[in-house]
Amino acid sequence: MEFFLFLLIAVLFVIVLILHNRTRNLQRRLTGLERQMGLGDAASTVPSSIAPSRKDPSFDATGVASRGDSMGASHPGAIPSGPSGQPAATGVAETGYVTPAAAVVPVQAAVSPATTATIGAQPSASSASSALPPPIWKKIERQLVENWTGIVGAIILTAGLGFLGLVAALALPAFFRFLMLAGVSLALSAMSYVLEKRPNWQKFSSWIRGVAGAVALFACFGSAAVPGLKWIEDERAGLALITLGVFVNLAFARLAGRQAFASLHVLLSLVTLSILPQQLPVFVVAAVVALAGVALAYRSRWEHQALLVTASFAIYQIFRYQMAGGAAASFTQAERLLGIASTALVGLVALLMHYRTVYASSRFSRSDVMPFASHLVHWFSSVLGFILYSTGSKWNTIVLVVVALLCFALARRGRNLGIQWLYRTDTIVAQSVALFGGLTLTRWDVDPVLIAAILFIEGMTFVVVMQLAEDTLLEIVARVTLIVIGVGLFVTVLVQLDYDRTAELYRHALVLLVLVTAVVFLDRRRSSAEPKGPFGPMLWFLRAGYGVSPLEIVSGLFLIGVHTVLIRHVWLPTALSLVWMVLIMVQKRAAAYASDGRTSGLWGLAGAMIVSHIMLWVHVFYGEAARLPLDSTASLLLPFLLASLLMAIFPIVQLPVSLLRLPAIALVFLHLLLSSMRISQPVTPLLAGTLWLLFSLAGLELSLWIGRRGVEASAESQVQGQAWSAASRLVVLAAAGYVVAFVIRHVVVELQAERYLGRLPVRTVIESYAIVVFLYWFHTIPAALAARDFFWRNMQPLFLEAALAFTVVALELEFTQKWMMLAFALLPFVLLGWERARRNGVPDVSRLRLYALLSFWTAVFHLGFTSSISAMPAVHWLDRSWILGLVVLALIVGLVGWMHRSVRFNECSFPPPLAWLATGGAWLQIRRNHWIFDPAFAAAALFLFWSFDHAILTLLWVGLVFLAFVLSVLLREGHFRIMALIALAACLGRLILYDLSQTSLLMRAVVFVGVGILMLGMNSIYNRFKDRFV
Amino acid sequence: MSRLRLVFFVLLVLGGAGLSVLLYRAEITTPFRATLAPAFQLLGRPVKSVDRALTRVLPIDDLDEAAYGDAIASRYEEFNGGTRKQQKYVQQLLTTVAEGGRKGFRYRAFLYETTVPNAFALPGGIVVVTTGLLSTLHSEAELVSVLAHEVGHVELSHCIDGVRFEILERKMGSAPLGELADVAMTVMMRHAFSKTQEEEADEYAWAWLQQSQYDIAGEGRAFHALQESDRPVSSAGEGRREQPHPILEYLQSHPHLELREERYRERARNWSAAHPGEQRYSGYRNLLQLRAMSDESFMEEWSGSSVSGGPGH
Repeated sequence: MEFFLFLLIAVLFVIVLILHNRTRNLQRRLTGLERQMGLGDAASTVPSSIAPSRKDPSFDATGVASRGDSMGASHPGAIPSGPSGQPAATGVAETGYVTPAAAVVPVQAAVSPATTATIGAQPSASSASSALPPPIWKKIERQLVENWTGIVGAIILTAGLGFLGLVAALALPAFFRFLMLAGVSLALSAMSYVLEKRPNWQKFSSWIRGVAGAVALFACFGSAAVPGLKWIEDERAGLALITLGVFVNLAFARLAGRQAFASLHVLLSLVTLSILPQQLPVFVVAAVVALAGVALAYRSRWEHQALLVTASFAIYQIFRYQMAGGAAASFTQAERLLGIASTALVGLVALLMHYRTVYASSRFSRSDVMPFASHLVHWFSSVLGFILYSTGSKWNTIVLVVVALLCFALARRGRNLGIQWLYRTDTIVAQSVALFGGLTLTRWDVDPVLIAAILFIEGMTFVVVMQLAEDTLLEIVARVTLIVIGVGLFVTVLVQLDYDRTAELYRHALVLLVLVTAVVFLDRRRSSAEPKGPFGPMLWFLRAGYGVSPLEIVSGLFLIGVHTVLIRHVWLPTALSLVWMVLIMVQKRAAAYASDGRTSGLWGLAGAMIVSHIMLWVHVFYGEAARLPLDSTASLLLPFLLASLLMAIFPIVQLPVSLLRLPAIALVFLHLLLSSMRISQPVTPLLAGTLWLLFSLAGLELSLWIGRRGVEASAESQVQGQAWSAASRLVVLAAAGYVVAFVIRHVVVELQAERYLGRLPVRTVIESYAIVVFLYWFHTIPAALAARDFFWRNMQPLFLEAALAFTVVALELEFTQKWMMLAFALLPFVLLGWERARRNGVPDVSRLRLYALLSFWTAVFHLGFTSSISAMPAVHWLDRSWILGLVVLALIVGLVGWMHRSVRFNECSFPPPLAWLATGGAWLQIRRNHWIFDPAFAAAALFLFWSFDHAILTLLWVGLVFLAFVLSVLLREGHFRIMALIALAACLGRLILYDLSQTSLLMRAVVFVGVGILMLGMNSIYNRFKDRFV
Repeated sequence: MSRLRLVFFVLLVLGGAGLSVLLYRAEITTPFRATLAPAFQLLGRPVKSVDRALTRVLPIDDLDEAAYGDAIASRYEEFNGGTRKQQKYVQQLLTTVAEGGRKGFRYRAFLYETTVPNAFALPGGIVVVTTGLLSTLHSEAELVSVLAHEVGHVELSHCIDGVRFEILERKMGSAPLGELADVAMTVMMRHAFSKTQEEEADEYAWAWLQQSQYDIAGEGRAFHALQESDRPVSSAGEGRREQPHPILEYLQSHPHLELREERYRERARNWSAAHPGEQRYSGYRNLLQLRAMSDESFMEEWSGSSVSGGPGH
């Protein structure tokens, strides 16, 4: 025990020594500082190592600084003077926390008098740079050094003394221990009092006072609650003593004059109180402490203080809540009411703090950041407190609504005071409280959809009020909030969907329809004036539509909601179609009277229509309606079709720029597509494709008619003309869409059909009809205005290729390979004949030459490799491979002649998507004869090889050689001569190696004679036309 | 609109309307709601043509294939199953079908004991028929159409297409033909003929049937019988066709039996309409008694070619 006492005394001694040395150092620095300030000649006292040298070029470069301005008058780095002529450093005490800019002087004054002198008397390069905002880490460091080291230091010192007290407790009775601590507190208070009078020691004095307050509080607290220090057994007396300690701290806080120290005292008090058993009196004391802390802040506009106190009080209450078992029910009614009251009182004082003209600010500036943050924390803390003590009563709805109204009124007062940020903040808070109040209607067992609807109406009211208030930001908030509520309502309808509760479904549908009507009328109130300010464009979008206004999003969603709710009713499509019509009429009428003449709400309506159509189709194809008979299905589909049709026609005539045209036209075409498929499917799956081709024809002619109307209309009004042209463009795209749909369906469904229609396979009949339709499309010439449209330039010409592709497919499907050889040999005749027969005014088909060559090559390939050697059993004489081969060979010879005489591949023209083929055509033309003759010779040689007896093969091949040789003379092309001579050499080799040994004598004789005659013929030709071989 | 164009337009609309009426009245249905199998078959044709050209230019001829077939036959002769009567019957029919074949192979039939109805061809004129096929089919006309299909694979060089490189490599290296046979067998069993090849073999069988005396509807019926045996027994799904998956359709080796059945049933119907009064032989009793039509022709089996049903069917 004695050892610990000795240790205590030793430690105290050491502390006193340290403090003494520290005091002496400080005194010395203070004296030096006072001397320098008094002399006013800093330069003479600045050590050369610290003071900037006048010879330093960088220093000189600052110019003004090097010449030495008078002390801080106009220099950006100088200390601004207060109204009383005192430096602003003293003004720092008013706000308590040292701001980074103001903190420069005291810190440097305390640490380096020389540096301070430099700043004050000789503005230097460093002082010039100090005019710039210090880096963030500097700010943090400064805050740490200036404030938190003091706060934490005081706490640690208090704890240390507490430990000392505990040590002493082992030796002294409890009461003496209390006296000992009280004595320490008094001593520190006295020291603080003495130092406070010296200006440069004021801060130190404040810290000492803080420690004194903490020690006093600890002494009181220990007397009542800490084992070893406890000497008061009666709880009331103990609480009274602690309360005394708390009030001592509050008094110290009042005396502190700076919010940092005041906050320290309040925090210490709250921490102490939180350690005690959480009985009602303790909470009352805590509430009083918080209230006093807030009141102090209110008086001196201490934002940090207010923020810390309300936040600490909230944390204290959470702690208390947790200690009570983490449930609001564990509080007694009195505790709960007291909690609500204290929260309200503390919150109210803190919030009202900003409702003063000193905070007036038309624009949000940096100085408003702290009050704004503080205000938010007050709200947050208050809401937290209310939640903790929530009674769960259904009457809270009324309370919350009243609070919201009061808050809104308060916000209006903020606006009157000219505090814009406060007005906006509290308006938003008021709206949030109101919405929360609406949500508590669940306690009244109200239908969730109805609650959402009430919230939506409240949101609409808020939009109207904010619109009247002409506050851009708040109107944006109001409109976005309305969208969010609308989406929430839609989701609620989906979540609550129960098709077995019919009455509820009707009620929900009615609610949605009423709200759609309401939101339409809300849109009528929109101001046509263009909103200004930084948020102006955003508000313009939210007002004007383009898919993001509440009207667009919400009305669309609600109409989809109505469809979802009533989807099982057969009359729904009719009813919904009527609703669409009414909405269009209303919006059109609104547009007629609107100052901007613009029709809004069409995005949402268009979206709703599209989604509703999709839902209907899914319902009809895959849902419950899939099992309905055809007449019922038609009654489901027809109203939507008619509605889409009306909308597609109506905007063209009445509203040229309407957004509805595109979806309506698309929906009409999709409707016809899907309806025809749905209705014809049960009878035959092959009918739909043909109907689509018919629809495509109708669409094509309709687009041409609209296009002609556009030309006529453009003579009167360019806008009208463009509108008609746009409609024409859409219709022709939709018509082409039918063709695409047909092609897909033909591949996926119709190709498998093997049945016959009469004597022809049904798919061949359909393909034939499609080919004719494609050719009709290809021969269509658009109206003048549409000729440059993408579709007419790039897509429509491809119908020729589509027709050809279908022709090849039809041939491939219905003929075996050996007959395909014949088909591919005949096709070039058709294509070249077509190209030759083309008249003026008919689309260019010169590219058919290239396609004819491709077909020719295919026939040659089949002749050489596949079909001529087919092993298929022959059904009749014409079916024999070699006969077909000979026919094809004859056709190929004819084709070669035709192409050689009159076909020029470099003169082909192609539509833009196939323009790259023109290069191929030009390339082929360079060696055209090679590409025509060589494949034909090769195919003929192979055909002879596969088809005829090998005994006379040499003779047949030499015949081919002879032909090639003749060609070389006729065409004057050495390439054929060389080819003929090489082939002749090969034939002679075969004659010697094969024919001499393998064939009969007779055949050998025939072959040799034949070959000899042909070679002699070649020789005579060579001699006769020798000049052509040069 | 010019007058000529108007005329064309009216004609087209009338033509389309007329076609629609015809289609509506014909009430033609399709085996599947949607399928890509015909498109895949169509796309496979040009590829197959090029493939065939490649086989033509390789130095492998019919003699190589015949030798190859002999090797396979000697290796697998001991596994020949079924009764001797069945063996003789099938061999007799196969010889009839292969008569006049361009390749001139000696076609040999092997029976494989299994309940699964199937048949496949190997290079060199080897045709393997399962005993399950004999019990699944109903008439000799059906059986010869299946055999004609397998002969078609051989005659159209589908078999050799599948192993041509292996044969070429071994031919160069003088590998024993027995070993070659094993390789071929493995390859043939693993890689079934493609859909395009199957379609060609079907066409071969159809062409053969036309120039034979057998019932022209035999091929369609054979596919029907195979389809019936292949259909899973399910009370819920009775009579319902499972919707094919496009990717599986691409990967599958054979066309859908439903599509093949419909194609050759329709062709037979059309052929019968074009050849009124022509008598064709079904051979239900022949198959039951395992006696070929060339051995014994039953009068009641001759009839105008029918498409749906027949004695014992």
